[in-house]
Amino acid sequence: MDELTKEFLAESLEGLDRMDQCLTDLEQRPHDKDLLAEIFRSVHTIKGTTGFLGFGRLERLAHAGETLLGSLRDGRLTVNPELVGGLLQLMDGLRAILRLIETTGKEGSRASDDDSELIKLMEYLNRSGEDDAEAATHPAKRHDTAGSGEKSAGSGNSAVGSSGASEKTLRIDVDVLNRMMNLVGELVLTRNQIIQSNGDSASFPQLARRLDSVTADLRETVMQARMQPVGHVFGKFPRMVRDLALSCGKSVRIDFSGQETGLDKSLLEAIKDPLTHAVRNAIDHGIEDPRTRALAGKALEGVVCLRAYQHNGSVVIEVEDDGGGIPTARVLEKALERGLITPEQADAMTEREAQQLIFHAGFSTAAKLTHISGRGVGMDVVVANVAKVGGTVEVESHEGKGTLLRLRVPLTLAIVRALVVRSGGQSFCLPQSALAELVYVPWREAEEKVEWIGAAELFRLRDQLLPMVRLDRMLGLEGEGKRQSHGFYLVVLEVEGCRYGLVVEDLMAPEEIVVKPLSPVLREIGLFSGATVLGSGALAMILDIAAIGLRAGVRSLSQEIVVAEKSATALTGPVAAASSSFLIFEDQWSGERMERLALPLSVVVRIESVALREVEYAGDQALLQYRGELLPLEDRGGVLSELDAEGTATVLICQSQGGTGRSAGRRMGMVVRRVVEVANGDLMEANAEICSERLAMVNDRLTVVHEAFTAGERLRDVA
Amino acid sequence: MRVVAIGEGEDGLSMCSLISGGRLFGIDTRTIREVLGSAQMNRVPLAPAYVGGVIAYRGEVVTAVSLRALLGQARADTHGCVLVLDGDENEERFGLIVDSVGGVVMVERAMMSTNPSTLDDASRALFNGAFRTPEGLMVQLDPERLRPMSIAATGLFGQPQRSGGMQEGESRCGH
Repeated sequence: MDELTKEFLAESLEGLDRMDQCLTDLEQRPHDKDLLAEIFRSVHTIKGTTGFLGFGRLERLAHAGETLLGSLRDGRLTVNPELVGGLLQLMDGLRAILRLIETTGKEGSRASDDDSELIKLMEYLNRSGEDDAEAATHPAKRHDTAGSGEKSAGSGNSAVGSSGASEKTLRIDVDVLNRMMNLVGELVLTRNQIIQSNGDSASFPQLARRLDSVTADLRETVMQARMQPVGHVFGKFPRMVRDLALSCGKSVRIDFSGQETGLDKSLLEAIKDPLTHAVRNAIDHGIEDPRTRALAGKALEGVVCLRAYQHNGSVVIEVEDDGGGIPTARVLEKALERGLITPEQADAMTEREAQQLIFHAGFSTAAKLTHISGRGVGMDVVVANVAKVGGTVEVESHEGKGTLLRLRVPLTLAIVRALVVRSGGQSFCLPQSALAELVYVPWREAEEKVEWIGAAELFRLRDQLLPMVRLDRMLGLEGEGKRQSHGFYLVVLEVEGCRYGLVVEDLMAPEEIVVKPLSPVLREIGLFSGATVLGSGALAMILDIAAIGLRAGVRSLSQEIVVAEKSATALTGPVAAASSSFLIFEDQWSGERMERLALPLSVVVRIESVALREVEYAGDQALLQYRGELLPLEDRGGVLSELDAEGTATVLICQSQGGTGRSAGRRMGMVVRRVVEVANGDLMEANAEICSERLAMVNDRLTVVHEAFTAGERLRDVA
Repeated sequence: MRVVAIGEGEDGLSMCSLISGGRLFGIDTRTIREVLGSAQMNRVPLAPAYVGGVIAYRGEVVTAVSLRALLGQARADTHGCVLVLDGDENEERFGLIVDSVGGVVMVERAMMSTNPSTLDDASRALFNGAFRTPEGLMVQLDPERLRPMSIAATGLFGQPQRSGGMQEGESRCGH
C-alpha cells in the first residue's frame, strides 16, 4: 500500500470516529449549523479523496451520504432519530470499506460487498425530507462543487485508536519533534565535551550538571509526546451509549469531564477495553428502565458520567451512573451460594466489602446473577486488564442511587520513583507509590518494640501492631549482609490493602528508575516485577511489594478490619475501628486561634467548592442542591455569613457510614473555612469526665472530632 | 593445522572455542552478539541454579546462564567471561558465562560426530555433538538449547530454589 493510501486511511478512520460523536451531538442540538457543516465536510473529503485514489465503491457510498447531508445542511430535512440512525449506518458502512482496504488493499468486489441497500436508504431518507419540504432543486448537482478545497475536519491532532492504523501511529506536534531533535543534538555535544575533557576533573561537575539537565528535558519531551488526552478514548462513547440505550429501551445521557487529562499512549490503549466494558455495564445493568426510574422518583433520563483527573501521580478515571446500584444482599446471597465466602464472613462484611465481591472471578460466570443483581459481568476481566498496567479498580455503590467505578492507572509505565534499599548485601528497589513511612529501629530499642506472636514478628508502631517481613530471610540471603550495624530500617509499605513493615539493612537515596522487563525464568520467581540499572551502574531488582506481602502471609487490611471490627463492636460500639484517616479542617475562631477539627475520612465523600449564590435557604436551614439531591448545610463557624455575594465556600459532602434502609448513605454538607490536611490518627474512647467532645489523636495532637461524625452515628442508630 | 584450512562455506563452520571447567566447547560464531569479557554480574536471589545472574546490556537486562552450573562443575574461582548470544528473531537475548574464550576455529560440518548413546540426559539436552580438533574434542553447544526458557522446559536443571545458598559462588564468577 502506498503512503498516500495509508495516510488517507488513517485520516478517514479518525474522521469517522469523530463523526460518530458529532452525529450523537447533532441529535441533542439539531440546529447546530457548525456541527452539520463539519460532518458534511468530513464526508465530502472522503468522497473527494476516494475518487482521486480510484476507490469507486467508497466514492458512490460517500456520495449518497453527502447528498443526504447536503439536504440536511440546506434545511430541507430536519434532524430526527431515524435520520441520525441512517447516518450512523453510513459511517459504519464507510468504516467497513476502509477496513477492507486496510487489510486487503482493495475495496472489495464480491456480491456481499454491495452497498446498494445503504445507498437506497440514503435516498429514501433524502426523499422523505423532500416530500415534506417540497424542495424543488435537485440536491445531487450542487454538492459536487460545494465545499471543495475545504480542509478535512478529521485531521486534527487526534489519534482515536479504534483502528489498526491509528493504534500504531501517533500524531506528534512538529514543535515537539523539533525540540526532541535539539535536545538530542545537545546530548551529542555534551558527550563530545565529556570525551574531550579527558577526565579533567575541573570541568567535570559542570558537564555532569549539563548532562543531567539535558536528559531530564529530553525525557520530559518524549513523555509529553507519548501523552494523549483521555478524551480520545471518551470520544467513542456517545455513539456506543446511544446505540446501547436504544437497544435496551432506556434513555441515557453521557457526561464527560477532564477529557484533556493526559495519559501515556500505551496506557490509553490498555484501559480502552476495561472502560468500554464499564460503560456498557453501567447502561446495561446499572441504569434502570424508565418505568422503574419513574417509580423510584428519578429523572427518566439516566446519566452516565465519565470523569478523568490526575491524583497523586496517577490518573483516575471514574465511571458513575445514577442507576440502581449494587444490591449488596443479593451479592452476598449469590456469593454464599457459589461458596465464595462462608456465612460467618458474610455476616462480618461491610457493605463496601461485599460490593468488592463483584470483582471475584467466579461472579462473571454466574449467568443468573447477572440478571437479578445487575453487575459483575466480567468485572474480573476489567480488574485483570487494569492490573496488567499497574492500576487498580474499586467500586462504590449505593443501592438505589447508583454505582461509581474508579479506575486508577499510573501516569507512565517506563519511569517510576523508587527507594533503593540494601538487604543481604544487595540493592533492591521499592516503588515509592507503595511507601507509607520509614522507621529506623536501633537494636537497643528493637527488643521492646518487636513483639512475637508464635513465630510471627510484629512491630509496635504508634501502638499499632505491624507485621514484619524480613527481606533477607525471604530472599534466602540471610547472614550475607554487613554485621556491624546499629539497627535496622523498617519500610512501612501499603499495597492492595496490605500493610506491613519490610526489614532492610540500609536505605540508599531515592532514585528515578527506568523499569526493565525480566526474562520469564526470573519472572517465575514471583517476587520481582522488573530490574533496573542504578546510578552506580549496578543492576537492582525491583521488588513486587504485593507478592512479597502475600508470600509472607500478610493479610489484607480489609480482612484485618473485619476481625478488628468484630471484636471491637462488642467492646465499644460501632466506632471502634482503631486507627483511621482523618480530614483536618479549620472551622471557627475560638478566641485567639483557629480551631482545628477532624472528620473521619471515611465520612467525607467529596470536597466541593460552592458559590454562595448556589446556597438556598428554607427558613433558617441552608440547603444545597447537589447532583439532584437536596443537602442540608451545616455552618457552625458562620462562614456563609462572612462571604460576599460572589464568594465561594468550601463544603465537605459527608455521608453516614453503613446503616440500612433509608438512613443508608444519607448525606449532608458541612461548610468549613479551610481544609488543612489528611492524616492518620486514632479515635479516643469517649470519656465524659475529661471532655464532652470526642477526641482523636492525630499527628500526636489532640483534635476534636466534629460532631457531624456523631451525627452520622445518630442516623445509623435511628435505623 | 588441518582445520584452519577449510574456509566457511557449505561444509565449513566457524566456531568460537570456550573453556569451562577445563573442558573445551564450541559455539557457532554467528549466534554470538558480543563477548563481554568479565562483565559486572548481578546475582538474583531465589533464581534457578543455572542462572548466573543478570547483566545490563545495551539498555536491556539480560539473563546469563552459567555453563559450569549447567554441567554440574564446581564453581569457578576466577572471574568468568560473558558471551551475549542472539538467536532467532523475536527471542530474548541471553548471556552465557564461561571461564574463558579461546578463538575462532573453522571446522568441517561433516566431521561432527553425534552425541554418543551413553551420554546422560542433561548433557544430551545441551550438546549438539562434537568435533575433533588438535586441541582435543570440542563439544558443540546449541544456543537454542542454552536459552533460559529451553533449559527451564527440560526440567533437568535445578528448579527455582526457594532457599539461598547457591548464589554465593555464582556471584563470584561475575566480578
